[in-house]
Amino acid sequence: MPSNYTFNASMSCSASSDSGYSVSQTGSFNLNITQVNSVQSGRKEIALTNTEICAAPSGTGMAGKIVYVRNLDKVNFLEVHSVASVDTNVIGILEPGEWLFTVLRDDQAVGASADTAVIDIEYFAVEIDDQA
Amino acid sequence: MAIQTTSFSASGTFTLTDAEGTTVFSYSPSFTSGSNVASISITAGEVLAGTTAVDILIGGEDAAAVAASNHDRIYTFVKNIDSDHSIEVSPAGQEDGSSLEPFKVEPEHPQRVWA
Repeated sequence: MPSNYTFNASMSCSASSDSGYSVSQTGSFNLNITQVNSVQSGRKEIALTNTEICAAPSGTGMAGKIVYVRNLDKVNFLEVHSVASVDTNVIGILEPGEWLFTVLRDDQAVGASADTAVIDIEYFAVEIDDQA
Repeated sequence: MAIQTTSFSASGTFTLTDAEGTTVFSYSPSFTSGSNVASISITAGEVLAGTTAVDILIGGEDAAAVAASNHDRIYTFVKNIDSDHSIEVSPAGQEDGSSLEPFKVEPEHPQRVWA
């Protein structure tokens, strides 16, 4: 049975150079999402071929998904892509320990592929409706 | 042009709560990148995004420098500070040459840490 949720996000980023210059940015938002059919979170093993992280959103009024992916590997990088196809519609390439967070307002699945060897990821994926 | 060495750090807290107030999950990840080298290393500020494409980050003549290091990657943080309209962010260029997925940022939402 579809359920309603509230999603809270806050982020802080900074960049600095050897020259001594640095800049930082922060932001936060709340998102009320309704009639959600799919909430997924946990750890997953990613193969060298496409491994689906979340299926394409389905159900009445579904308009996209919130996605977080963290590369837990200590050596190799990871490719994250929409449309669940390697090297197509790439969302990000994550070095070991790096993560991405984004909201994709489309009806595509999200997948990932390892480059050199199987990689473990930490992730969550939550459908969002067209009112969110 | 001289090159610069930079590093990037990100942290966040993401929490999903159900209608009864129960926390479904909460993540608080962070990372600091390795050193990155590029001809133009850091750009930041505010920009008026029109209805046609507007460059907001590194691009154009710097593409080769970006491509030469770190899997052709740019760390980005994009925040829509408009109160009414969404924007679409369209990264260009990535390893293996295929296009990156564009994404929409709703009003007053920061939604992207990395691209």
